[in-house]
Amino acid sequence: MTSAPKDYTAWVTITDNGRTYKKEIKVNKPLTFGNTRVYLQANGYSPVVTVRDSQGNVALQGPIPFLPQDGNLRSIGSIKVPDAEPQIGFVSSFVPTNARTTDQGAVSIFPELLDPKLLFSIWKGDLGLDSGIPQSVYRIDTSKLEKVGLGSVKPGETFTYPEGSITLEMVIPWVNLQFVDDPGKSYALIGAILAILGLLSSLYGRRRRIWVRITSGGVEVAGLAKNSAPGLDVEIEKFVSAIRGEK
Amino acid sequence: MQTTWAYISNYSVYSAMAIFTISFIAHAFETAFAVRAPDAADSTDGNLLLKTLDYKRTEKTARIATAMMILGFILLLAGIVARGISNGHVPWGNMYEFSITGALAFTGAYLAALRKYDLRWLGLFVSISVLLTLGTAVTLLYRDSAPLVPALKSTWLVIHVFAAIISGGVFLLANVVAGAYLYLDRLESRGPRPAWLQRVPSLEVLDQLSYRLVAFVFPLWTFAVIAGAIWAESAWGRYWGWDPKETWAFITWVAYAAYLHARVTVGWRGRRAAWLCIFAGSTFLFNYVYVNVWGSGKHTYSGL
Repeated sequence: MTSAPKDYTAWVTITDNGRTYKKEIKVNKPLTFGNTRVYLQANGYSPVVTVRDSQGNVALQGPIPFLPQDGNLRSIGSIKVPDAEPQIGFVSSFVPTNARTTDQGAVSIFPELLDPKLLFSIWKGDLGLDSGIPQSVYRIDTSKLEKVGLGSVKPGETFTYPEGSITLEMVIPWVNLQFVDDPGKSYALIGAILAILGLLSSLYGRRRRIWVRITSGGVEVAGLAKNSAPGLDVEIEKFVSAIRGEK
Repeated sequence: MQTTWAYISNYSVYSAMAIFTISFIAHAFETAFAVRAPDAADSTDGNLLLKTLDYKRTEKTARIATAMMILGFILLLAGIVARGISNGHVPWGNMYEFSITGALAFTGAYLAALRKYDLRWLGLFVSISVLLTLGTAVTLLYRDSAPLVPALKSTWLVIHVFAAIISGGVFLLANVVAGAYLYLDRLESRGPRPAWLQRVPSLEVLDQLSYRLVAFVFPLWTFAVIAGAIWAESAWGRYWGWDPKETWAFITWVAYAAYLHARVTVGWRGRRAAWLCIFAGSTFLFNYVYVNVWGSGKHTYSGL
């Protein structure tokens, strides 16, 4: 297994009532903060882009989170520019370390930013953001859009098309943090431990019952071993002789 | 240096397979040649002539068979330890490593039980199942020795996986015994046992043995599931999430719990109990094979 990740670590700064300190979050080491635990769940990249219209006015600027697709963080995403006239959408993929294959197109061969590249097709028309129907931030429905062009940029590069231009300023990483407060957790653990203790005593304990009946003819003794534990005969004999001894 | 250990590991596993093959042949030879045809002298009393088993004739082969089993166990153990050294972590990171460790646990359970019970009749089944497991592992499941993925880097890997592998080995041994019970039960309903099966203990003993194996290991399996939940809480942010592996582990737990209840509380014995035992064991196998190979979920690591 080559180029597999060995470790994920997030270095975070915590501010608590004006007190600031630094902590690490790893996959198997969540950050505990009061009753809350913070888990490092996923990571990926956000290309920081600037999109300009044909007059050179900035229509969109900022990081766009992309969704990783494989271990080398080939990611897909969409850059939606509703403030351009007409509206522009980029159906994009991002590779942190670019390589080309004949059958799959652009692939990433390493998860770090060694040779990052943003690839996209450019679409214009109504993005459908005002339709009231929720849509994925990672995808664009291109059925009502018109394709304008196809391009790719590396950090610092600008790609120009008739309706404007797109610049890849830089690429920043993102992490997915999960905040969990699970008050029932300790009860579940106590229950589980009790369950094991109960199992041990019921499976390994020698459960047996002994009945003693006083009849007119004398005393009758009977026994039953629950999980067929051996040695019941001996015990009953001992019991009987003990009764005899008392008499 | 790491590659050297990986090679040592592979050669040890291959050697163990060769040794288990010899053990298998010796067990087969023992079973076949211990059958003694009736002498002419035996027929004088007019009784029904039965083939009998005379283990004095094959005592040497039997010793070889068990010795080879022990040697195979040691070689396999060496292979697993070397794999661990080459990995730099406990060798339980993928299905190849689980399989060879499972084969080791299974052989170990048999050898340990052999010290107390006369179980040598089981050696034939044990050696062939270990051979099949190792064969599948080296041909279909083999992956190069590699560092652990981050999600597996935890002390709980040792605790959780160790408990699960031991439980699995003993559950499967209980299944073999229950299967032997059902087979012999069928044979005995038609008449006396064939000679080569005469050393297999009576049906009552088999029935008790499979129950004892399950009762012995069930708390360990419970612990394995709970340890998994504790680990999941620190690795994935929840202690139970109905991941396919978790769900099937729970199904196995319920099935064995039903088996124990059926025996202890309701008093199931014999055929019905054996079928229930085999059903419970098959949920474990299904979890191991299906969820790893075809399933998707958080327990799928590094290909397999």
